[in-house]
Amino acid sequence: MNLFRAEWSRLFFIVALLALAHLGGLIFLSRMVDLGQQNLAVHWSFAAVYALCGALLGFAQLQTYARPNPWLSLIHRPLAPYAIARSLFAVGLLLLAILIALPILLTVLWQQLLTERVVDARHALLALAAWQIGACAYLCGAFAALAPRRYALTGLVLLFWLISAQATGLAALLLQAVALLCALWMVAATFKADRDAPPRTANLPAVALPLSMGVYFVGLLAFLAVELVWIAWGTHPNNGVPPVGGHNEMEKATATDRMLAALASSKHVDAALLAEQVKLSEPASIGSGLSRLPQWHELTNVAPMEFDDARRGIRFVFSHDDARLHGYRIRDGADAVTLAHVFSDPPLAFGRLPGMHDGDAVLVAGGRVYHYESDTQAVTLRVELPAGESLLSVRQLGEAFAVLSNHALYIFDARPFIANRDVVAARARLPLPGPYGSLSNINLIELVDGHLVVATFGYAANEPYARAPYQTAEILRSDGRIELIGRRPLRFDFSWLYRYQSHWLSPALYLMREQARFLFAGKNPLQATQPAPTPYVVWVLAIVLMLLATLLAAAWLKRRRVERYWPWVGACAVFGLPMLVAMVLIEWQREGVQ
Amino acid sequence: MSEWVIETERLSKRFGSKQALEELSLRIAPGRIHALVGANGAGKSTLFRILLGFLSPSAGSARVLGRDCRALTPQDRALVGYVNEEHTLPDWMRVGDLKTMRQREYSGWNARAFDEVIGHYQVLPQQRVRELSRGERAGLNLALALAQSPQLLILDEPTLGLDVVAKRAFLESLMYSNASEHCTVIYCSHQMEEIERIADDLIVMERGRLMSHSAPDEFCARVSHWICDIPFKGPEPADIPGYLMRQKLDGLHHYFVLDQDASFAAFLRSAGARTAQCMPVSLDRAVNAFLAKNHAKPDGGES
Repeated sequence: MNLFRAEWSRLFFIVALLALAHLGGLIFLSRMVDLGQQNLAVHWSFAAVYALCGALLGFAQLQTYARPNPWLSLIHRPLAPYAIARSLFAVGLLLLAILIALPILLTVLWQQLLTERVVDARHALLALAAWQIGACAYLCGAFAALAPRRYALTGLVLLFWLISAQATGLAALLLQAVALLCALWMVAATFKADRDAPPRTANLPAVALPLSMGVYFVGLLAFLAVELVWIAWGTHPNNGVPPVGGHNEMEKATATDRMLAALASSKHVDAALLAEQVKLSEPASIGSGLSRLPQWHELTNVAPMEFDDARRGIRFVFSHDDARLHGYRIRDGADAVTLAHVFSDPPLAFGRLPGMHDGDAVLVAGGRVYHYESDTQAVTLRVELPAGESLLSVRQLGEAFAVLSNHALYIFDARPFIANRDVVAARARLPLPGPYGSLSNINLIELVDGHLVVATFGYAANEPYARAPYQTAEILRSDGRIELIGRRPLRFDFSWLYRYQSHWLSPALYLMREQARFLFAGKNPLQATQPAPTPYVVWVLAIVLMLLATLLAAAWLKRRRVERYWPWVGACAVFGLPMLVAMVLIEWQREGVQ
Repeated sequence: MSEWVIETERLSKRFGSKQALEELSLRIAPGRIHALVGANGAGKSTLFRILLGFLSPSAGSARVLGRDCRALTPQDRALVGYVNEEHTLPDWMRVGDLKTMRQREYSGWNARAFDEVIGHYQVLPQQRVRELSRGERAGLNLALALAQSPQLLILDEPTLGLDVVAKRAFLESLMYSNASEHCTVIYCSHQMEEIERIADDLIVMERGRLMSHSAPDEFCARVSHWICDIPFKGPEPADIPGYLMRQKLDGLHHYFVLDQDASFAAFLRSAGARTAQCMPVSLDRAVNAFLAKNHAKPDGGES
């Protein structure tokens, strides 16, 4: 407690000043925009600033003790190192709460009490999320100050984890808490009198695992550097002339050429005729820019969950707490109206429907499309897709509409939308001939009796476990019949060595990385794929590298007479070369061989 | 309580190609003030860091107050005071708050010892540490260290950078403090007049090795200073028994030699000296000569 007080008195004043500046900045920005309705990119910008503040605070606070004499003065007292660490970090984490969380909470409170904007519980939880991100960075900054320079930046791995994590809402908070505990363990492993000595065996995983993951990332960056040279050389498949018959060739082709290519290999009797029709038509494309769908109580927004009724001068904002749209006057921010409709999924404003008037809006919530009418301020269900499907894109095709979900392509007639306000049924449904997560694009033309649909699958084909890309050509008749015209396999543009680089470098770390990314995250229907089995040759290479790492580790440990022989040999056998490098960085001592 | 406050056995520490400590075997008995001297890079600070558990030895063992230095507990640390040359203290704290903090940390806090030492300085409780002069800071550091009632107090060049007045105040506050009488003091300094004044025991280190461990008087007695008049070039250092250092001043040859008695005069005469006279040696000159023997110098150079 004594040390806590001393450290508190050292840092409180400057942090309090910064907290006031933070509060002022948030209030200023809140005057300009509704911060609670910003999208993920804006929230990440804030998170980056908080992480930077946290990292700087942690580094600056501990750096003052990091020199030999101050470190000796700090540790050489009748207190266990963990008790000293507890005091210092408690001060840092509490000050971060004042610097980061308190201004956010005050801003949320201000919005709640003094404005008519929508404030949900999730907005208050943003303060916790921001604090956890800042706290994680704080501990990583402290680690950077205390750990030997050769692995001082290990904490970046935990920050990258936060960036790449897929969890949302409370799950995201839980994941951040786990990352925070990992950071705490990592920095505690370094908080000892002899800082240059390797961590104790019990604390070794706290440093060795993130460090090996960091080395793994550096390895992947090295591959990227090679790739940059490849690009500069001009023979890279993504930049030069794409390989014939590959996915890139189709990506760079025009819609017409893509459809013609899909038909070219077809043995269907109508293939040639259809090709002629493609040449005479102007193919339409349909796809979605969404990488994920809105989730209940997510802390950020996929896209701003608001739309304007320009005719009435009202802005409607969706509230996750009561699942309704709340309107306030754009002119003065005064409360206007709350719509009665309760949504079953968070809605997004989305394009237009035929027969819509000024001020009307289309709202898409999961697999349902609603029509907001400005005149009556009613929300009417117009389209309902089967359960489990989410509407992702709409494209007008003359008198019809193409609607893409994560499972199927639908064709709707435009007329019923104008004629009445009932739920409109699809004229035809074409199940996607592959997982949505692999879909690159869909091109279609109108036929006399339906549509010719060419789907190209090969999205993320360069990732491990991706199936070989392919194209399908199908006719979706007006009466709903489906006729397969052809299926054209495409080649991978890259060899297995490139595609599986993240796998063969260390299968265990790849698995760990993926598990960490999707920890606490529900399945994202927009990333659904059918994983391909790993090629035999990839496993052979991975095992050879793991054996090599094991042998090198054994030889190095024996030569250096490192005490923890078997734990390290075992770790290198499992995690491969990145763990070998991590081991050398951790165990390397300046005195060299004894 | 162990027989020795500090005990090292073949203690070695290497930093890359540099051998900071080389098979250092040292035993320091409880009580008294032990001076530790050596040129820069002799390994004194490395020894202290190992003793306090802040560095791991490359080989050998080290014990402090009977405890392996790699396993010091908070209770052990309470018994070992340490004052470094920077007088590292929390700059932002007020003197009174700092004293209160340390008082709460150390169960054996000796308020009298603190007041006794701090009384030598014009330090006010409400002053911040950063507002203190270097001398006052040194005094405060010493007061805090002695008030902890340590069994072992390590002072690592505590008067470095202090002016004459501050040095004197520091030494007096150390010497006349009752608290220092009840603990073993390891005093590391390059200031031989300080050592001469306060040390009961002298430990000389050079290049990580223990070169001498005796009372200062005994050490001085081992080194003799001979002045002789040799009309031509004197004997080569390799031929001089116990050779430490030589100088030529005003046409006279000065030789500093180790463990030589009156028979050394005969050696000088046999080497052509017309006169040979033995002079008393101060601790400063004795240590200087002792350490100069192996001091690195360009090829062909002469001490």
